[in-house]
Amino acid sequence: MVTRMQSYRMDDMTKRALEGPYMEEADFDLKLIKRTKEIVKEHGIRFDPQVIIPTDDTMVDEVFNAGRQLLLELGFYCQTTKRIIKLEEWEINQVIRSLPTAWTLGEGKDSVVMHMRRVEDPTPPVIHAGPTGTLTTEGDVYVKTLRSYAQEPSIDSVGAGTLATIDGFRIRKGTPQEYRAAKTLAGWARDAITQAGRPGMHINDVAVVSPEAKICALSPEHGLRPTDGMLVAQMIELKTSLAHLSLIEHMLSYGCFVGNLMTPILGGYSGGPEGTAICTVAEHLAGAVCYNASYHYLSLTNVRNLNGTDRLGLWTISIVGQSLARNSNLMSIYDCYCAAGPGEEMLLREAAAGGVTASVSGMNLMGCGSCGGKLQDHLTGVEARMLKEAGVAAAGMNREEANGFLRQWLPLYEGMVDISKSPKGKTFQELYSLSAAKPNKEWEDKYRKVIGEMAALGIEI
Amino acid sequence: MLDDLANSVISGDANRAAEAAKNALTGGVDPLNAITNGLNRGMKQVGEDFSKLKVYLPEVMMAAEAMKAALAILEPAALKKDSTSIKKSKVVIATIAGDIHDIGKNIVSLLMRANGFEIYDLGRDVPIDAMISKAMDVNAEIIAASTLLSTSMPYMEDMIALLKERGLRGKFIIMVGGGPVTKEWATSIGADGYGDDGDEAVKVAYELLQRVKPN
Ligand code: B12
Repeated sequence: MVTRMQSYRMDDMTKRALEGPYMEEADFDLKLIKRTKEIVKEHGIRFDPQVIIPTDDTMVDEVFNAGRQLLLELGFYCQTTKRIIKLEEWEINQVIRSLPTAWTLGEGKDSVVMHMRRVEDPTPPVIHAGPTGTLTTEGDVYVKTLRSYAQEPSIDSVGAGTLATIDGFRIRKGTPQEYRAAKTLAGWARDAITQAGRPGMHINDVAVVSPEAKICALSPEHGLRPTDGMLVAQMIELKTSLAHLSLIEHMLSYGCFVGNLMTPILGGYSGGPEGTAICTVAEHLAGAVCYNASYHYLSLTNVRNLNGTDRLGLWTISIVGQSLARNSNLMSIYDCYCAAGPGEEMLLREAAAGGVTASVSGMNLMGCGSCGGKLQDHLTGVEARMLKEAGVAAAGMNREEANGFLRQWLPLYEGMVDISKSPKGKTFQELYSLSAAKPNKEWEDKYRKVIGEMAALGIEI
Repeated sequence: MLDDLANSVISGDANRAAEAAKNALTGGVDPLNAITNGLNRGMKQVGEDFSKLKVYLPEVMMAAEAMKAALAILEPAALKKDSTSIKKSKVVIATIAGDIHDIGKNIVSLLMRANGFEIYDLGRDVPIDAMISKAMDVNAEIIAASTLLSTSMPYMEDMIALLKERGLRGKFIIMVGGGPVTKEWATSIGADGYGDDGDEAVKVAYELLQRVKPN
């Protein structure tokens, strides 16, 4: 009985959050810093910039073991109570074993099945597309931006951007306007997929700040349905709060999907790529056990450049994806965050590298973010198309082949991933005709040029 | 001996830093000189390396610990010699109302503290009047506000407006930063300074203390 199991687990987690060992948050961070470093050493995990998609299965499996060890030693920290939700090895193992290997997202003819993918899996990845929380202009621009994703034939699901204003009113957290924004965003997402002729398409999130306000987006009539989903964030690294558990409680009973959102910081508390990898595995496991998450969004963030498409980032993504695909049924979704902006070939190249890496590593896809998520309206359907198509083209490729491609591909852009140098491109309004939400010739031509370059290196879209 | 101090900070070795500090004092190095041209030089290097991602946050935190260990020995000695020479500028820092993103703020806080500022870190999701009250209480020179959320940026504007309304604007240097905040926007709301990262935050704070004298 799945539901019994879930409410039983929520009470159990809440009890631990209320009664677990007390610790100051700064001490938890220090312990994480210290143990992550040591566990990386104990398990012999080493970053190799020449092998972006690691091919050493022993090391891949060690990343999984190290991540589980880190979670068992540290636990999941509750910021509200300053107490640690301690987990046991048997329950982690039990949850990993009991997970389904496919989910149907969305409704009717527009639904899609997302599978648990394995390393070098020929099953094409599914993409959760959209502005991934980046600032978007309200009203028609917002609807058309979402429609630009929904009407791409290869795209499977759309998500949300954030709004700065609603009805011209600057949105502040915890105000009536934030609640209105949550409802309106959900409605606009429905409008966008309906206009694109895909009214049953899965909606993957509504991006407002307060967990309480997010609940306003759930409505079978003109909001998110039980066949849709929302992200529930973890506080990095390895933390949560009672507000987040409460949001999950409501989402589970409403019936929609809980997506565990992790934004591990590469170069932050967990250190370099090795430490970040094991910490990220621990965060996936915490999301499965404590959040009852159906799938897991891995939004790796570089502490300086905010993107995840450089060598350090792609290696980390790949080894995490592979270690989960080989050792569990945890569906990890790579949230592709890029440095460049729309209208730039560089953005398409970053998305292509991300799509290939994640696909070969056994993951599904989300994205794209651009310009480190800093610039308003810098997002379009075209870069999401590239991410997905690259992922599909790479499905079934072996790791050596994919590495061969990446070794030639990364030098085309990696000198520019520095946030202060990367080209910021243009806005959606500048790159699309607004009436039909169609990309202009300039942007389509660049897409064609980049897929031509990929074909020359052996990846046919 | 100054190199030894700098290197002990760079390698994040607290024991070595304390040792180097003792050696400096017994070797007759002026304590203030040891702080400025030894420890601070090392910390500056660490800040720059982090900015270029040659090192990561754990290394910066260890460097700060080493710095702290050496300062515990050098500061009292410097104070004994000249009590005015190491007056620290006070900074009240927080992630502003509505926002719980604090990694960036913590980095800024860490680097500023390691570079000789007296830091009052109020944490995250801090109401603007709490920031102002604390700044009044401790007689701070600088109020530094961080946010990563567009929905909290208006609170930075509100804070400056409130300071003006209460006739307190001239008392403090206001610095803002964090993800969506830009230099242009900072200027447009009437803040005094902005920084792209922790390293720049330190530089800008020093520069503002020279240029804008809070009263
Ligand atoms: C990590 C992260 C989180 C973590 C934060 C954990 C923590 N303890 O901080 C968690 C998971 C909790 C989180 C939650 C949320 N997040 Co968040 N998050 C991020 C992420 C991925 C990275 C931020 C980060 O730490 N960067 C690294 C640090 C080092 O950089 P930094 O903060 O900018 O700081 C540097 C400089 O800016 C500067 N600086 C910073 N402060 C100051 C201050 C002064 C005075 C000066 C001079 C300089 C300065 O120096 C720092 C050091 O170099 C960003 C993505 C992005 N692209 O930025 C999203 C992002 C900021 N989050 C976002 C959102 C939407 C959310 C949520 C609403 C998600 C949700 N739906 O639940 C919640 C908000 C909860 C809340 N009330 O705040 C959006 C914001 C969009 C917007 N328009 O505002 C972003 C941009 C992602 C996105 N596109 O969706 N998030």
